[in-house]
Amino acid sequence: MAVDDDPRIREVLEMLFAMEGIDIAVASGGEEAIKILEREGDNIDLLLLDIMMPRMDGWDVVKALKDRGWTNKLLITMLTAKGDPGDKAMELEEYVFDYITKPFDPDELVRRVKDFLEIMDAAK
Amino acid sequence: MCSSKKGERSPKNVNIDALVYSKISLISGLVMGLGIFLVTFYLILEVGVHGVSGLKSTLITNPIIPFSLITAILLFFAVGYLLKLQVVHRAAIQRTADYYEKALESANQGVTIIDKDHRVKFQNSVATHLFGDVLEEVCHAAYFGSDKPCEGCLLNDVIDKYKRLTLLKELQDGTILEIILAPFLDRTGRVVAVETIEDVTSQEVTDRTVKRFHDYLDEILRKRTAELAITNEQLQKDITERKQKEKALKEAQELYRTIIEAGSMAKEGFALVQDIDGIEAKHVFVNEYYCELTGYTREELNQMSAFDLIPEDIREEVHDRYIRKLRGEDLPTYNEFEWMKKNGKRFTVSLSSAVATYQGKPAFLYYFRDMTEEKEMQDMIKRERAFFESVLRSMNDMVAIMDTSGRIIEINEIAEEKLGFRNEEIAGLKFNEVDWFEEQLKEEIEPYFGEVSAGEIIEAREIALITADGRSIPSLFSMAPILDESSGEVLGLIAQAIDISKLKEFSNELLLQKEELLVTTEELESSKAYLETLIDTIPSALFTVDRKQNITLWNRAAEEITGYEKEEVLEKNCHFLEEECCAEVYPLLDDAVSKPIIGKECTIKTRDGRRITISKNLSELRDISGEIIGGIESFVDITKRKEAARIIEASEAKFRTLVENLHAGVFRCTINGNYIEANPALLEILGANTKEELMNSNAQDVFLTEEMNRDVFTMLRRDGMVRGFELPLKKLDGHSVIWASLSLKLVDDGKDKYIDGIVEDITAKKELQNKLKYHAEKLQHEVAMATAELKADKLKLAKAYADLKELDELKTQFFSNVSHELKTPLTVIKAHLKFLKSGKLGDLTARMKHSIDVASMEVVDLEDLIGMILDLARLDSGKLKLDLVETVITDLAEDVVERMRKNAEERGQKLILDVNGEIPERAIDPKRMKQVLMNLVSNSIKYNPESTTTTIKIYTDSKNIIIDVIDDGVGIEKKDLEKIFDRFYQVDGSSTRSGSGTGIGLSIVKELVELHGGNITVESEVGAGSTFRVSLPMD
Repeated sequence: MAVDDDPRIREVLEMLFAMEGIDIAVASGGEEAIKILEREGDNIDLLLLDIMMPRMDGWDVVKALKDRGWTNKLLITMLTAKGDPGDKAMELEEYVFDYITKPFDPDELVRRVKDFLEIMDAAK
Repeated sequence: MCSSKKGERSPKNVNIDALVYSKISLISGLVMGLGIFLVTFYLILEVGVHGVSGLKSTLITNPIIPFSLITAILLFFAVGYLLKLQVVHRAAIQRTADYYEKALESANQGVTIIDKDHRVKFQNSVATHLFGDVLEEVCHAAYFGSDKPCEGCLLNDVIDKYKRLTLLKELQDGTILEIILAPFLDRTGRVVAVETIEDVTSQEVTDRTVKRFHDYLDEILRKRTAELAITNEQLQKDITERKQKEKALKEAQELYRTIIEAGSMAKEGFALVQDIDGIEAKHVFVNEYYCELTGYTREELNQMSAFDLIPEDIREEVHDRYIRKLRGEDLPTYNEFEWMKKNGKRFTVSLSSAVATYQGKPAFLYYFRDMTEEKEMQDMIKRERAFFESVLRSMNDMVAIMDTSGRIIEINEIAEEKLGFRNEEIAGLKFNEVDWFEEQLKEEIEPYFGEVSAGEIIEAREIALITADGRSIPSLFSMAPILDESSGEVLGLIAQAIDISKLKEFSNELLLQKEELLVTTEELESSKAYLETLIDTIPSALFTVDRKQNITLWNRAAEEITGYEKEEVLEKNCHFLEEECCAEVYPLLDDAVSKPIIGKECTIKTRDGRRITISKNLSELRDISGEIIGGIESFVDITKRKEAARIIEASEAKFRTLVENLHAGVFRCTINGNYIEANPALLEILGANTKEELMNSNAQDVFLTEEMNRDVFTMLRRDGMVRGFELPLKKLDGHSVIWASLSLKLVDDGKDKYIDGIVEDITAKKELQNKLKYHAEKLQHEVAMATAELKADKLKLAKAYADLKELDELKTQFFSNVSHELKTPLTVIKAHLKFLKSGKLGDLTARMKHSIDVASMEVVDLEDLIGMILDLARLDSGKLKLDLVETVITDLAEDVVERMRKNAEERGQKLILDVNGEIPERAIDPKRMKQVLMNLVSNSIKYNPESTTTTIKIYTDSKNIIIDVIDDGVGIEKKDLEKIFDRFYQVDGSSTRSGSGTGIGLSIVKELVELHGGNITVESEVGAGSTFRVSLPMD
């Protein structure tokens, strides 16, 4: 699932993964993401999570997932526009698998997501 | 135990009753049911066959039916009653069971009930306490932690064979349990085991201890018996040995008797006495000589006590000794005492005794010897000795008696006393071995012994004897033989020493006195000369006169002052000097009024007629007896001193004038402030009209306050002076104040203390100072004002600067934000272009494809541009941090060439990498350094025409790694070269290049290189190409 407040990015991601045959759900914010996860969390292996979002930012989402004990069922990859992940990252970093810098190169993103999904498959 | 027995019996009865009842009720029920069924069946059958009327008739005709009915009803009641009974019984059973369970609960022992499967079915609280809650568990596992039913097999015996067992079980924690297992029928009639468990640890421990004690006693008894057996054996052995010993003893006694009798031959009496009743010393055995000595026969003696032979007056004493000896006291074995013969005659015997055991009892052995003769001999010797000693003692000189070999027999008391050696110490020593002689003297004396032994007499000679405490006594020493009067034989030697120390002292004293006299005479003579010299060297003139005033002594200073020679004036009357001068001496010569005259001034005439002033001292002259024998006068010429005094006076006057005319006030006052002197200036300064006015005032009045006064005096006392102390002073009128500079000095002329002071009026100076001070302060104030203004300006400037900085930061932030905002749409565009290009959205024509390619390329360029703007923003805000890794730059360059080659080839250009030598690793940020190279290379490719060759050349000099990016392209104009690295500077290149730029790429390159600690330069010539050189220091 990809979480980003920017609809353009959401669209690109949807198209990108659809073309690669990867199922993707999108959420416009943390609250929606958590709702989706509650509903069909079992089908979601990977979370692409934008850090800079209004109301509930990426780290808030990670914290919420941690509090619900979902962090071990998901690979969390942060989409970061800045090089610096920020102060909140300090205590939550252990729950994050990787960072992808925005704006991302579509090919690069697809390659890495495929890698992560392989890892999750292996883990299953 | 008790409760467990009850529990055993009662449930059994109850259960059997219940069983019987239940069975009876069951059978009754069945019978009744069958009866009712049969009757009903019959009736139904009857109704079916004959109808209701038939039934009636049947009931009447067939009596069996009513009977059956009645029977059935009776049975019904019977069954009901039985069922009720059963309920009552059950309740009773339950109550009983509860009761017993409670009883068991309150038991002191643990009680458990174990079923056939060894499961615990019941346990009371004590059992729970012992084993924990083990209900429904297998007992051996629960109790003993064992899987195997080792103890449980006993349970089988109990349950299957109805045995009652008692066993002790010790748990791991040391608790000892007594367990009694008994068979028991439970409520259902099954055989189970009832177990009562009691903690008997303490009881068991006591039992064991008692047993151990018993064992111990048994062991001791056994040992003792064995020992006794051994002792018995030993006794038997001892008796045999003793018999043998007795035999040997008898033989020995015989032998001793013989020996003792032999004592008679040697005139030694022997007696063995034994105490018969504790105090008597009965003769047990005496030898013949003993009989001879005492005058009794042996038979008589055997009837007597040894004490019978002792005179009554000493009997008690001897008896006492005897008793003490008997008690084992250690007394001398030998002593002498008087004895009494049978005829009453007393005689002296010597006795030695020993305690022995005779026939198992203590006995005394006595050996006696008649001492009468020896005694007489000794008495004689004693008498002679006493005589001799008295002779010795009567001699006043030290005497030593020796035997012929020179061994000391005795020295007399005088010798003991004088020399400090005791007879006890030296008797028996050789005369010459005693340390009363020096070693050398010993050697000298040694031959005397031979000579004297030969009968010669050694004449007195003077020697030094040494006392025991080391003093030396001069003595006259002589030696002579002691001759037997009759035979003339030499019996011994006698040495005599006369103490001559007194004599010696006396003669020494005389000698000393003589010497002293000699010395005194000499001293007198020398002291006379000394005195004369002394008198001559005194700077004062000095002469003496006799009672007639005739001069008897005239010293050199007198000669010098007066010009008269000593020879001229001696024996002359002193009047020649000046009559009145000598006249002074007269009253002096009268004893009654004798009084020395000191410091009298007068005038005398010198030989050459001058008159000089002298200061003289006069005193009488007395002899040893105190008689006035003349006078003595000393004088000094004070003419010069007088002159000096006059000069001083003159100079003082001069000073005075000076002081009087001084501008500053000068004064001297006492410590208390009373003026002694003051100059006119002081009068003026302090505003005194007359000198008296000032002199009557006190110097301390000038101080404004007491405190000031005190401060000044403290300073003065501490330092001895005050110099130029500026302070306000009060004038004499008491209110006018002037500023003065005060200097004080503490003067001590040895008699009194004064204060000398100078007061300077500095009021005018002070006023000037104040004015200056005012101006200075004003100036200072103005400066401060100006400074404050400046500060305000500075603050404004700082604020402006801060504003600017903020603006700058805003700008940087803006750049950063804009770049981000640009990047997202770019990413989106890029992604969509990719989707298009992939063909998955629909087929594309060649032109479409071309358009997409162009758009894609432009997107890449735009991305680069945005990247650069972002870098700029980061550089400005200082947020660009290098991520340093040890890297070989060559690898980076290869990468760059690999990536850019295609671009170059597309434009018909060449790209070459040229690495010279080994390039060391260096800490760089690979991403950034790559950016630098990419930028330089892409610039070269972008701005140069076809067939240009771009070369990346990497090499090192002694300190740097150098990367040259060289092209043989169009070159850069000189005016551009200087500014090419400036930000936003664009080379105006209509003629020189085909691309365009933003003017930030190279400025970023420059800053990145500099961040790495390196620098970048460029050399170029239009038409010949350019060289960009990056140098990175190697460290």
